Amino acid sequence: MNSRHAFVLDVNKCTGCHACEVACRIANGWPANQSWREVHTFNELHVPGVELVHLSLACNHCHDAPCMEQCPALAYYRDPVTNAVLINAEACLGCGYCAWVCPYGAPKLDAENGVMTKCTLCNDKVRQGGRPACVTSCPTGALEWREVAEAELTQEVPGFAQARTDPSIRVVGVREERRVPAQATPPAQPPWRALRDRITPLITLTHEWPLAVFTLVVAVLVGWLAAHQWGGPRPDWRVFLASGVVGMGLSAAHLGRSRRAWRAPLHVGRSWLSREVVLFSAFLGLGTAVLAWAPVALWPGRLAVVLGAMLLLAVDRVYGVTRVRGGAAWHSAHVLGTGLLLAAVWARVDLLVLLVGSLKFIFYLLRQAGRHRQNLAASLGLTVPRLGFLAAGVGGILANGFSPASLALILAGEMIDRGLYYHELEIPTPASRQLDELAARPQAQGS
Amino acid sequence: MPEFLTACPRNCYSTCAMKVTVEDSHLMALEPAPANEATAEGLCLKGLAYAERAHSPDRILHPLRRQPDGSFARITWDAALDEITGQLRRTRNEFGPQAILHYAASGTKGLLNQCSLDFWRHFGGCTTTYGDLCWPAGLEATRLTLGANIHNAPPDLVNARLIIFWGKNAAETNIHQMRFVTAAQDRGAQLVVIDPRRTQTSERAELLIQPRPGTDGYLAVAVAQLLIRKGQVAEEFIGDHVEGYPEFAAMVNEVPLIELARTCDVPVHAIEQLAALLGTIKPATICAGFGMQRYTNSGQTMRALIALCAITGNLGRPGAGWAYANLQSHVFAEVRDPLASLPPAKPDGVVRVGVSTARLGRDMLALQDPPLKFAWVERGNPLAQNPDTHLVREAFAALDFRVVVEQFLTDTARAADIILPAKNMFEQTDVFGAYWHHYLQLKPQVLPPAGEVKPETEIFRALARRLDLLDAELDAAIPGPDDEAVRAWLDRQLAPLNLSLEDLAAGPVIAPGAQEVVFADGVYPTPSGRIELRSEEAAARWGLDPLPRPTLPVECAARADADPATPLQLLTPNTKNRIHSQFGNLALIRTHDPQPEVQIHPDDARARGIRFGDRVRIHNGRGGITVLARIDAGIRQGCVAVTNGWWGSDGGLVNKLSAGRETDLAHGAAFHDNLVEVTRA
Repeated sequence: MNSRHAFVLDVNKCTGCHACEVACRIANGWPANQSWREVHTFNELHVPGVELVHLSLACNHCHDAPCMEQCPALAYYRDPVTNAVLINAEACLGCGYCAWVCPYGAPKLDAENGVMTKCTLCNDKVRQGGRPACVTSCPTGALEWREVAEAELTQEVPGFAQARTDPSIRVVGVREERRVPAQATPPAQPPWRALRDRITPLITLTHEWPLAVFTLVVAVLVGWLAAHQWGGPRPDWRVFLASGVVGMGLSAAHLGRSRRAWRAPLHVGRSWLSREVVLFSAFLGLGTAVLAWAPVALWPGRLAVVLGAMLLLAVDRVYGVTRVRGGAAWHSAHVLGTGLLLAAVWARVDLLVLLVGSLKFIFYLLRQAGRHRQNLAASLGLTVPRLGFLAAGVGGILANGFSPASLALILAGEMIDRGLYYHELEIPTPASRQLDELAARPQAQGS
Repeated sequence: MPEFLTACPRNCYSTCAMKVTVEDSHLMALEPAPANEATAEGLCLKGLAYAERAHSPDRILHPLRRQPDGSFARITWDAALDEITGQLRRTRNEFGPQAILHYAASGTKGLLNQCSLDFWRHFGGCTTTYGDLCWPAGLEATRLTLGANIHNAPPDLVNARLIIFWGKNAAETNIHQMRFVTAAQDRGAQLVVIDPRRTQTSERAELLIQPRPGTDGYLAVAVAQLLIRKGQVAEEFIGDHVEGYPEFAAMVNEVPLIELARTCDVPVHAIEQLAALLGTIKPATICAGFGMQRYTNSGQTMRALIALCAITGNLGRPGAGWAYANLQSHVFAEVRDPLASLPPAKPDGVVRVGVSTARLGRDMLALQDPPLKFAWVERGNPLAQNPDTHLVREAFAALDFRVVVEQFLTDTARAADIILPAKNMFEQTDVFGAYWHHYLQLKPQVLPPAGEVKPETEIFRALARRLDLLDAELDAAIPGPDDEAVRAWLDRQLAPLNLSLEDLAAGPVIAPGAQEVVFADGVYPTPSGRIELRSEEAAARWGLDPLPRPTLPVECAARADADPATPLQLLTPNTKNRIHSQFGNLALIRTHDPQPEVQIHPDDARARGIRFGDRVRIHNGRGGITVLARIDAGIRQGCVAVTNGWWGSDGGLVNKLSAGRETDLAHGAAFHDNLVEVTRA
């Protein structure tokens, strides 16, 4: 009884011809190098004994759409007739966070207009009972848009995220009886690793450095104010405010449409990004006021520190959707930890400095140890200074008490860590999931 | 917006029906047209690229004249035609009309293509080519064995219980066939693919056999040996319909299985598996492609393959058969391919069919009495697509004058003295058949010719007028410029078939006399009226063994005399992204296929220090190209593959490496008799 319209992709029928991608591009007037729909191929290298699968994905118009939930600017809406999830280009900030939270890699940046864009389901056609362009152009009938029973489930397919977003897609997996037969001369060492380097990461430090700076500034300011609460030095309110404004400015300038930055707090009810913006504004405002006019020991000061702690939590939650390959949920670049360490340093709570410093040391090592060999080698040059600065800073404080030099060392270590973290961050995409899965297959391990 | 039903005239199995939407002389959208049962679902990438292709800024829209510095400048039609007329007169006067080469290839299908030769006959003659680059060895093998190049209608494949794709990568070259394959699989059919590469077609197959390139005949004989040994041949069918079976059976048993397996380098257990499938599952269809018939030994290979259908009784029934070429819609000429592409037994003295297209460069240079002085090229790109590019270039460079009719600046167009802008498929009405399904289809004119484009019919009329050749006969043979005249001309071609353009305008029409299931009556139009496993004509016409006894190709790593400096067999298959050298220049296609790559096995790559994405040089004694390495664990070790159809500007002219050699049957091009070495560039 319960049914809805959904894409149905039968990977047994798909030959990876890319007609869906091209038809989408033509129907929606995209230039040749951009498309809302993408075909992700699993096992392009033909590792023997491993099936080859093409996963044609665009927006799946989820009923619990994380893009809509997490958009800070309320730019997403849903068509009441077709259930299509759509973006109001006039409201989008171009923050790109929807691309981070989507498990299917659907939202894309329209670089020309600085806003996010994605599959519209060819909504005008579908409203009139038609089918999306990708579906009408499929030469093998592998991609359909049709009524499916709610109970009908998507099968396991390499690269397809079994996300709890209630997507309007059903994928028919490779039939058990249709497997690729063994080949006469399997290679001694499969070359699957070569492919990982070809994935363009969604997050790169080159592009996201303003966010790295902003989040570090947030941790410093919160730590500074909290330390003052504990009896540490009193921050000059002008420096405090100016750093916050610069951090916020960098962050806003990083948006595709900076002039719409005012929309960022609109979705404070659901979006962690909105909460971050609201908490930051409140923290900076109250913190400055307290530092300028009121003794910090009173409730406004305490409230500012509580807001600061919540802010750090919100920042870490924003990044909760990302991951470091092989890394754990707790890691050394969490801003909450940075804030706490700095607060302890400034407040001269040596035991806490030792505790948080040691935890960061261990978390950092764990994160690096679990990472991909090639990336580890790339970051090897930075591991020594990162840990060295931390150890020297913490050691200096424990041995000789607080000194600006020790603080500077610790800050330098935190900067390296935060930068590395951005470099290592990855949004799991269909393509990266496919590579992980291929790497996990015994056939891909070689003999 | 007006919507038209049309069909795609490319040299492609599918020959799809399409709906096009036109607004203000602009192609807005292309969609599939379900009226053609074989291509009811969506268009391929090329079909989707037509809007870009029709309105591309790179399209040639005016006559162009080559300048002394090698660049091209726009000239008027009058200037172009005057110069061409002068050159034609001069060549005819000095050397005779046969000093002019008329070269046409498979760029577009259509009845109007025949007008060109009418012009040249009126002109007094010319020289043309014989043979074909693509498929004649298989056509002739089929004609010799079964008598006709026909097969069951495409949807009949769903009735097969066993489907064998032999040297055919339908997922790329005939994507609409895959719908019938998966439908057959859904009904329980088994799928086997035989190909040196692991292709998209083989992904859902039960069995993938990767023989040494060019040795498919040995594999077929090995399978036949097992079928006979196990008594899994259709004795009654053989008795009723097969000629030469005892001799065939004796030949099949001449060589031990293990030796055959060693030659084709397929494990015996895989051969046994294939034989067991073929011996026990009925009906079976062998869908044969073109790859394994592009060797010097491939006519015999193809005959051995067809024999497997014959001895298992897989002919004349639904779901069974030898699906190579279905020429049932070729109803306009008395003689079909491959015979139509052979040189005439008696030259008529007017048209000299004197150049083998497989050996184009060498034959052009060697021709005397008269030597070639002038070339007219239409619907073709021989400087990229014919074997031994260096010699072809040399032969074109040796001419006095070259005219190329083209839509884009291809390698051949760049070698021209004058380029005339060619029409595209939307700019002139025409009618054509297909070679996979059996429909006749109409493509109406839906766009006015772009810029100053003139269809070939108009170009030839204009030349005829200047040369005072436009008499009543030629006037009737070549339709006038307006669409009405073209339609009247086409109606005259259709009339003998009791068809009219009106019938075709309503949708694809099944060619008169075409059958859904062929050979159901058990009549095979061979000399004996039976399936000829032993063919006297093969011996008399082609000097071959009357039996399909396999031999090794001339250039093959398994031969004792193979050059150790070139140990890798280069395959140059077709890709889904182009039709030969067409479409590859379009942005929409380049997004998916930006540059030539060589597929190479990881072990072969490692032995040469080659890593994924490295620039590598593919070379042999004939030439070399530099491309990117694509490590592919699915290709047979010892084989490398680069898709054909790249332009010189892409650096992927694969035929710089191929030799100008003919196949053993019907003057095909043995592209794949091609040994190379690959080294880091």
